[in-house]
Amino acid sequence: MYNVTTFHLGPDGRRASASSESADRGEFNAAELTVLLDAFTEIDPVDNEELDPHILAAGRVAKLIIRTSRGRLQVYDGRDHAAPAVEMTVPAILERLDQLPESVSPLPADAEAGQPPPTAPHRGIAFAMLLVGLALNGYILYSVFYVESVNKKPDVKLITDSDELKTRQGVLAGVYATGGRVGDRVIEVSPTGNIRFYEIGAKGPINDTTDTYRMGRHDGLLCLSTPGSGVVDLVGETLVYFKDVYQKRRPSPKE
Amino acid sequence: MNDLRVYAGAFQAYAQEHGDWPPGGTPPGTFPPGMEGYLSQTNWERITPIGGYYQFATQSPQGGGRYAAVIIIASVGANRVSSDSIQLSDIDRKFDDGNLSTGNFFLGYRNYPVFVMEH
Repeated sequence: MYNVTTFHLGPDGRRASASSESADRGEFNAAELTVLLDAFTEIDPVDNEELDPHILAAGRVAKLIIRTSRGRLQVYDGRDHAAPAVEMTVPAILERLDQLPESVSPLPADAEAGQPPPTAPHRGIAFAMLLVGLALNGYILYSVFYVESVNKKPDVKLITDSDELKTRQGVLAGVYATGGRVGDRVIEVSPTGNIRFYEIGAKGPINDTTDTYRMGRHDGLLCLSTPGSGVVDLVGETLVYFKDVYQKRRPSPKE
Repeated sequence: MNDLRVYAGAFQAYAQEHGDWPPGGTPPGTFPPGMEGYLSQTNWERITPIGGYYQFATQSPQGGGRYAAVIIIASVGANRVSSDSIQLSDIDRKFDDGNLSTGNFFLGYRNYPVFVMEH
């Protein structure tokens, strides 16, 4: 049973009444309360807006304030006025009045079953937009900071066979030069994996740098691959470095 | 990079007056001997706008050829000349034929920019 009090509501529940400020309707059973609530949803919207008719129903567990809007029932917790309204069906209201709220669903069971599982489409869109934004930022940063270098090193496959390496380095070691005048360049290759580059200057070597090398192959050519000085190709008995040809002058440099 | 034109003009003035280029064989950033009065020592010895230092060279092997007189922009230690192909190509378009492998401005030894004054 439910204790029912109506406010600004006529006896049949279908019309708002300015004169009937509050009326204690006594105890209603579920069927009677269902009839009243069904009638309440048919109330004239203008009167509803003007007089704010509502029903206070108290069950075994809950006390609910029920208002109507556009044929639907809006339910407030009678003991928690700060709680927001929840749209409920009549059976759900009856259940809510007698059961703890945790077990109550505001929607009919069949309606709930018919609904698709809750999804988060907005989160999906937001995530996709985030990814697009990150990709764009990445591209902009790449475009700004990317420098296409003129120093492109060929793909060198290093010789790993120790016997071949030893033989080739022994044969290769020597002093190579573009000539013997001021302005000519020299490459000294040691059998131990060191390499020296310099230019013959007016007063001795200039632009003098040293590096290490490992032997390898690229595009069918034997070569010396260095970490900081690029690649020196072996073409016959000569070295080719940045298109300049270096002839062998002496078999081996001084270590 | 207008410096290159100015410097080339100074070297050519020297060559006209002396009948030959000044001696090469000086390291990058070092003032070429004999160029006093033709070239500002301060400007020559400073870092170039694209990094590295200027070097004057004679009989210089570059890119498979040999050139009688060139100005090279060379890296020295940590002071590296630019390897940015877009930047270098842009300079080449202003100075030469826009091709970094041909013409009077190209990339030679270690891809250092070379400006040819005499082939």
